[in-house]
Amino acid sequence: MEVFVCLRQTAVVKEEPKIQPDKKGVDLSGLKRHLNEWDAYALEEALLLTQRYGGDVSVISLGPKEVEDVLFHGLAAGAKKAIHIFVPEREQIDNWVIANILSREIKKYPFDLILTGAQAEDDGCAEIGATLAQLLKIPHASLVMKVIYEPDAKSIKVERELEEGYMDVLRLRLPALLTIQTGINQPRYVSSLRLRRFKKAGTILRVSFDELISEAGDVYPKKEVVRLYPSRPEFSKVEMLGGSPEAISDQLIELLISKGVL
Amino acid sequence: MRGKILVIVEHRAKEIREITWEILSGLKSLIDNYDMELQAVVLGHRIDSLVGELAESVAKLYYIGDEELEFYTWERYLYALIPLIEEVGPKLIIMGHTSTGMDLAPRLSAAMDSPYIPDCLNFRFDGEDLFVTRELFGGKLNSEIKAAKNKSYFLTLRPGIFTPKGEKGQQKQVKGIATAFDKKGFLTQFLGLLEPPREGIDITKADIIIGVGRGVGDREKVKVVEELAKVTGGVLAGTRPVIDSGWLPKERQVGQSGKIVKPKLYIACGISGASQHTIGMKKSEIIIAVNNDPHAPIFKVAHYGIVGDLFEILPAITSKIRSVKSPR
Amino acid sequence: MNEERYVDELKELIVDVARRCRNCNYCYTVCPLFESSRGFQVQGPSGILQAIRYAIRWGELEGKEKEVLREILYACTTCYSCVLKCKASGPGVPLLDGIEGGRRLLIELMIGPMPEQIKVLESLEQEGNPYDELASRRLDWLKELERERRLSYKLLPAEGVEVLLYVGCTPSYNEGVQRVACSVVRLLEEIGASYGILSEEKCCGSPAKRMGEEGLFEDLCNENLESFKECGIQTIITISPHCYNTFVNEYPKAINEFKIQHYTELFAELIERGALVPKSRIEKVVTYHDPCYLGKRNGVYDAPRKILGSIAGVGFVEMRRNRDNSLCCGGGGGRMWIETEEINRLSETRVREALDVGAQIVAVACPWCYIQLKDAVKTTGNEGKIEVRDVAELLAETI
Repeated sequence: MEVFVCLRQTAVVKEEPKIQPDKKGVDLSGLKRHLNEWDAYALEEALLLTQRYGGDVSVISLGPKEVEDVLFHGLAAGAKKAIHIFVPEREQIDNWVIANILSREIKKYPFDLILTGAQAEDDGCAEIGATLAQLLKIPHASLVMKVIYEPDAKSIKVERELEEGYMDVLRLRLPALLTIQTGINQPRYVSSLRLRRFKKAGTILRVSFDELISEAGDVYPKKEVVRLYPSRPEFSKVEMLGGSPEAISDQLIELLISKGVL
Repeated sequence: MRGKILVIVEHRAKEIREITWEILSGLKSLIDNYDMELQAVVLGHRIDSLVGELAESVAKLYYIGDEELEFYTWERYLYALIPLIEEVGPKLIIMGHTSTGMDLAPRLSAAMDSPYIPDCLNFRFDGEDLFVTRELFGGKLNSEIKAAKNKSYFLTLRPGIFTPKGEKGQQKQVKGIATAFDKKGFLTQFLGLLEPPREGIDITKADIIIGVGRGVGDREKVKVVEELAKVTGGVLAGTRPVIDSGWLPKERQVGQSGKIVKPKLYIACGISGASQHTIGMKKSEIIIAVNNDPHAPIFKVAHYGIVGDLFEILPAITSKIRSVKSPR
Repeated sequence: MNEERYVDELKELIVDVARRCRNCNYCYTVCPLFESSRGFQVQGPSGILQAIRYAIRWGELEGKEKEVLREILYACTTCYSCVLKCKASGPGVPLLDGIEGGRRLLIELMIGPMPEQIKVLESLEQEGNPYDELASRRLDWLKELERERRLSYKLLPAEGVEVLLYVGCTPSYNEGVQRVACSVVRLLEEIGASYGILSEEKCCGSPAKRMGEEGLFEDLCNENLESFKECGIQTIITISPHCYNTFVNEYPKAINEFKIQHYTELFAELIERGALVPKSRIEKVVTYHDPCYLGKRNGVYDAPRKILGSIAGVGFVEMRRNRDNSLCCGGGGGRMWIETEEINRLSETRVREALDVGAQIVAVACPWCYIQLKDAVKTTGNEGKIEVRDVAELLAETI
């Protein structure tokens, strides 16, 4: 089976990120980048499927030169083809445009399955997968926790994770798109040496964003950032307890006793 | 500002899901500022009782009934809703940011060529422009977003931001809509709904829950948290990453894809506070958060916060409680 | 492609080492893994080596078996007892080279490391420490200490500093081991040393090397070497024997321009010269647990004993297994981050051995021994009967 995996490179944000002076963007310079956590599971699932049933995995990513790191990671992990659509700053484009551009490139290739992560660490929108499926006019399932390929019927059976422990079971006709939830598998570790080697010798197909635009006409963002602002605890009504661990314990126990919890 | 808001109702196992009541209540107060009419659409098969419940909460309720709609699939909902939305022409189409909402809203909005903004905390109109607030980076930043001008907008709202008030009005209008499905043309087949295994402990019944987050470090260190649970008579629960890593079994997962809990006391240990988790516990009566990061989003939902090293603080609390409980 | 050659070279190395084994089984008599586990053949040095050797030979590096193989390879604590024993009994097979070579092979084939160790490697790469802590918080312990007293260290890079105190990740971030770092600093202050601490210290790379992540290790080596060169220092003092071992034995030759000492070596020297004099007494029965990476791997046995011997009131006793016979605490070889099934927990056995000789204090000189043995005192219910203290802590108490 031919599987495409859409990869997003996100910044590793451990502390509150700096907001740029115009308040419309975030200063991610100096932050390390990595493969979006959900996409790592998607990549691994694609590799497991093709290892089991034959076929190849292709990885595709949109962004500046740095995203080639996640594409090389994909190649080192076992993907056979990598496509880079260059844009100077991915954060400046909205997900609707990204989904459109991805669809224009992906539809040039034969595929059975497209996998994306269920959501991205940075914006948490969970929208590109389903949007891409609609643009490509293929069925999809989101929050997938299990994939079973049915080669004779040219379909796949999937389990979707719902709330409170419920799971949906669906059968989709191929070609289809799945958005993958964390925990479905254990993504393999790609070592530094391996990555280094693939960075030297791996090939990435580079595609022009402008060409994709001109091929099928302009596509406009459907939302724009007006301003970003910190989401600090001051915005809430939390009461902080301070002092030594012993002092904190005393305050806490008094509090819990007074509220009748203890 | 005239216009209609159309809420797409969520139900599962013959019950209207809490998120729908939250949204209907929340919208009622929001739209006081605007001249808008609250409508809803429920899709399903043999759900007259649900229709009855809903009809009292909105100005107008649409009901699309078909055997094919007994269970939710994006495909059947999509084809059933498109003609309705075209006919009704709502300004806003709203769902919860749930496994259903994030599954359907992107496709439906794309099909209707409308903007879609996911996981909103609130929204407002400024003249004809729609602004929403949502979070970035797991809650570390907020962003105000403006939707591109359009005749209709799709939003999914975050579960748990509104509280259902259970107000009922008079029975309003109910309109049944027929479907025109091409049953053979479906690419998606619904095979079944798996219920959660009813094994082990039911954390939703506990009065005291101690939550374990990634910040606890590793499975070994969960023992320190377990001590606190033992001495308080509480139960251990965990965030999704903790469950994924196998530190605790699946039935202990609290969050959007786990259980929703509302205990008397929830102590969040080493939990950053990403919305997928807080959705599951923010309605607890007393929330205490312990984290060494003063900017962790968990402090936005906590009532009391402690910034410090878990492994200094938890043992101190544990031994203090122990001494209080067994005075000599 | 280079990849095949690298894999082939690794396979050759492992098979070469394994072939030299004579299956005499002497290594099993000193292997801590074998002692603390079910006693299967693959839970001892020779067995682990043969497991990877035959996996290579039979092409069993795919399929379900690869997870079993991974568990076998990563259970070793890399304590070095087997290497010493094999040398002493004749063949001198470099068993650990084969085992660690096996880990490098598994990593290259994307089978290793153990799943719980992946976050450790990612943390090393992103934040320069294995604990998923922010790099920006690495010196918090020092800033905290400075609030209590004036300190004379210089933040490196800076001019005119001869001695670098290389703190290490565990003493920087682990709340208990920070006390050890503080003790070492107090002692350096006491002797009026001109010393510096790196403003942006990064992990020495030992965890990466132990797990088989050679590339990440190389990156950390190069970054650290550059840092050291920038500072113009001449001596590096380490707190952890793991950092010590990796600098002395595993770093590129360029590190040889620096004198590298474990802090016990430095303080033992100073005590001998009379430059450091313990003033008060410690009236306790004290035993010393030789860390594998200080003792077996580097032959440093006497320095910590000299220090303990110089403290008045200390009744020093040796455990039955000491020096090159010391029982591994179980924390090395990447095992701090994985769960291994231990029938008799190594660290608990060690605590009992200390109690057996009547010790009231077990002195340690390694952050991981410190953590492992402290935990074991609790889990064996011996709190109050015996204490775990670092040599530096004890010395600092007496000045």
